[in-house]
Amino acid sequence: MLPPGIWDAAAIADKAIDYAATFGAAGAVFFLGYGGSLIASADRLSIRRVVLGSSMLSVAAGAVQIMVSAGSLGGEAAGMLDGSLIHIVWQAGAGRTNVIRAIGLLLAAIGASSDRPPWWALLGAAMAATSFAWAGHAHSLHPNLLPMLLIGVHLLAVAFWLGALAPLGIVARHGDVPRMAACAARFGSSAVFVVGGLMAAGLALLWMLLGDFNELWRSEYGRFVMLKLAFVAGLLGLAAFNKLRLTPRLQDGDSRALRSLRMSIGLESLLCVLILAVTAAFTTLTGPAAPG
Amino acid sequence: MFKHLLPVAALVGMILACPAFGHAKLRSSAPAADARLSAAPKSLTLTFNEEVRLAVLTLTVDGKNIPVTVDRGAPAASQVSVALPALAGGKYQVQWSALSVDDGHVSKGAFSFTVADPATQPVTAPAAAPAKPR
Repeated sequence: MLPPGIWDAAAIADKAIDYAATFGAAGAVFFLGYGGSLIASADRLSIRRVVLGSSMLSVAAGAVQIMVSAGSLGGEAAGMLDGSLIHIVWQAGAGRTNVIRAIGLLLAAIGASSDRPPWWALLGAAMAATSFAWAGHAHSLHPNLLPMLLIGVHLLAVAFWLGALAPLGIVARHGDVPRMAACAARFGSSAVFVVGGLMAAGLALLWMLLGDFNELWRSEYGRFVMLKLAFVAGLLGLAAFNKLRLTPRLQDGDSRALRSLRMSIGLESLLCVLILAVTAAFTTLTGPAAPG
Repeated sequence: MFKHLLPVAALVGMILACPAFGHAKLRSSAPAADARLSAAPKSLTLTFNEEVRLAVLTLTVDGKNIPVTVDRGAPAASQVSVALPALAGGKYQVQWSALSVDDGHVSKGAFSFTVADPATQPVTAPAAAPAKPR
């Protein structure tokens, strides 16, 4: 029998990859929707490749997640291929979330091939990003309509923000300052509202899950959330720096600001990886305090 | 005025009605954890704090596996019973794993109980008590 730690580590790593790939694909499609007309056709092609590659990675990670859960249930590697264990995992929400995500990503990937993604591609991206709401702690609340709406808003905002980093990085690498300035300004003007929605929905959901903000330092779950919030604060700081300092400099034609922006996008990407890894860890290892 | 307050009241009610949830936990078992039984039990019952699908239940004594059948196709329930074969005297180790249907998380645990050897003096069994998760 394999030690339980291996299954947890595998589940966390796979979940973090699934988050990154799904938000990366969905956010890139959103970016093509609001910023596609501002960028060069070569960059659009690169972003489409990001959508396609991330979509395939997301679907594969979802399938592996089901197998890892089945293996963890069975307590041995053979459980990963045990039909009855896979069936249990599939029926307990994993099937629903993976089917919704796969359909959404298929629509997003097909729609991303046109110059401006059609409405159904944006809907597909939204379906994929919010598919995580159909299982997990928020879904387990009773009644769960409001928690699911909140987590849906939170996930859409995460996809918009995190998923824009790869497209912005692609545009930034070519050194076209006016184009980069236009993209950063377009993203920044929407991001203010999106980040506001993300924080408001996240905090409201946290309140519903914890019931008491003192749980943030009392419980293991709360301490994981605090760690995540620390990384989010760093990300917010960088985003504010980009919007308030770098974007105006880019708009003034300052090419040195482009180098700073590239570094900032790299740092933001690193923070995103940490945020997704911490989220994957606390949603796998712990849960909000259970009654009884 | 009352009509306007209704949606607000419903929203507040939805928020307040939300209980805090964690992963599925074993509340109790029969036989209970660390129970000393004078007679061999005919079944093993696990009671959880939420509905689960029991996937694995292994029963061992002195490192020897005792075959028990888990119905993996059974609907989710907060209480799951498994029929036991005729058990001889000895200390039995129980290991289980289940999937919460609420949040899809895997939960595992282990506990033991003892069946007195028929040749020895009968002992009393304690009431069902929470079993320690592994």
